[in-house]
Amino acid sequence: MNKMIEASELKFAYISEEGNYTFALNGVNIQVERGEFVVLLGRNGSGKSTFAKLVNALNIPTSGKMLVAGMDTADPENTLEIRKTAGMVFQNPDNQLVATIVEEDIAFGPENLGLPREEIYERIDYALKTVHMEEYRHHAPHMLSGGQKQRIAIAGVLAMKPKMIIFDESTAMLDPQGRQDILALIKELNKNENITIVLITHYMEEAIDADRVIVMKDGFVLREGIPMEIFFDQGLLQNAGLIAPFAARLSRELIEEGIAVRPTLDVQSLAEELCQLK
Amino acid sequence: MSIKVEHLSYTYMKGTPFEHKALDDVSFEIKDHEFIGVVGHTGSGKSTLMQIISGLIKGYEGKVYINGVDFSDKKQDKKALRRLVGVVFQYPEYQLFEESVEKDIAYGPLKLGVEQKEIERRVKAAMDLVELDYDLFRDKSPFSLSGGQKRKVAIAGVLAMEPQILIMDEPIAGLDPMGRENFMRLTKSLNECGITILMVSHNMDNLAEYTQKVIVMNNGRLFMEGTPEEIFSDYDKLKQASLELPEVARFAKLLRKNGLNIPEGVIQYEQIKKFLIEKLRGKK
Repeated sequence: MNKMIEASELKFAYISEEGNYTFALNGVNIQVERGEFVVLLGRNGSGKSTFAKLVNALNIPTSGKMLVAGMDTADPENTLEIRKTAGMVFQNPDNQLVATIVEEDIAFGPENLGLPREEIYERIDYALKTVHMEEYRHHAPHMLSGGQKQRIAIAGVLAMKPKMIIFDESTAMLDPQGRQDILALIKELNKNENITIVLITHYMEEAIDADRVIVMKDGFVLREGIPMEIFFDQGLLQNAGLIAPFAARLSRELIEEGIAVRPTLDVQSLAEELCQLK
Repeated sequence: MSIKVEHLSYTYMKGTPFEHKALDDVSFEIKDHEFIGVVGHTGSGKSTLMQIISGLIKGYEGKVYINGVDFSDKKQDKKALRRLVGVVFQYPEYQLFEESVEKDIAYGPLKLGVEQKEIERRVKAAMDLVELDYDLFRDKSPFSLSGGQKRKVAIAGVLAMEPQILIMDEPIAGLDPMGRENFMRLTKSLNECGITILMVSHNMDNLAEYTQKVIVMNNGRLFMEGTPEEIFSDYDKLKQASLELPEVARFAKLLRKNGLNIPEGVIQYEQIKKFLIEKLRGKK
């Protein structure tokens, strides 16, 4: 099975107490291949988080289909297997940490799977090592910094040995250092652990190295493409309410002013080109 | 309205094994009508500082003056004082609770005993300020709105109290880029209406574009204080506080390293763009 996500004509509506339907997804087709690093962009309310919840079977489609590693999320029989396959890391790590000691927190998932003790310890070792937090094994999660807490939340997900992790704005609450660290870790998980990544973010810089960017608006997919296509399409960015990353914006605007540089997403190469001009 | 903080110290869980000194001898002054950015890494004491200035934490050492009035002076009417200080916490949308947008925004003034006509005026004015259409949104449930819209409702609720000082702790975390821009512009226009603004943010780029002064906290101490140009040009010192330069300043530093002489104090996007165009136009 090489497709991690196959969403076809996916619709989802939130139903109010009075029975009114508000559609958050209006017919979405998204496919994610095994091993891909996909970034989902779009304004608040564009349907990104709703989509994430449908992947994880936290929500069931109102219509259309959502298959995760070939499993239909609408079938309750599949729910546990889907959640083992597709882990999720949310915005606020405080909402995701359950225990008072780091290793107990990470053990929570595997314990609930009823795994043998040795296997649980192995998984804790693996998870802590992968997020570079081995020395915090016996610490209290609530005494850690935001970035460290988020690492522990990620370790908890890793202990379930997922094939895919969905990060729903997992860097939004962190300071710049914490954000950088978590983004670097996400890329490592993709490269070294071959975990499929779906990253939802409002920080355009985090999308620069993505294999593919999916832009959403009003519950539709507006466009898919590689970062270079997306971030140099001014009409698309305006329509989706996005702002190009720094190097893309500056190189484009300088080119418009007649400066002889190439369009780029990379700050380093833009700096070098500009310095050769002087 | 002005704020003055003198020798402020605060220790959490004093006398327990978890004792932690969050603030250590902090002094500074904010003048009327200023727009101040407060930065610092996680645990630097900035949120504790904001909570003390908001009147939410007692038992501190030192003095806090709001408009020259001592906050810890028992003889003063602090209720009146506190009404002038509006506070927007992280994720203010979690505070929404009413069944309609209008009722939620009106809740504060209603509890103050403001009369109905005036409440209606304030709700309209507050929604106007945050750019929420009154007729379109007044009857909607706050819970049916998107994250960005909810945040606007929560902030409108604070604005309906007509504060003179607005303290905001990470108000743009979780907003999309357009939402962040709009929010910063909104804050600037509130500042131009005369409201003193104190904004805590991890977003150096936005602070560099909009604030008049920046305070840097580190390990519970006031580590730096100055104009955004001064603060965001001092890479080494920011680094000591585990902070980063804003994007533009980082790029200027990179250009300097590669031999292009960008003047110190270039921290805003339009500045660097203009400089590069003037310097490099026609070169090949």
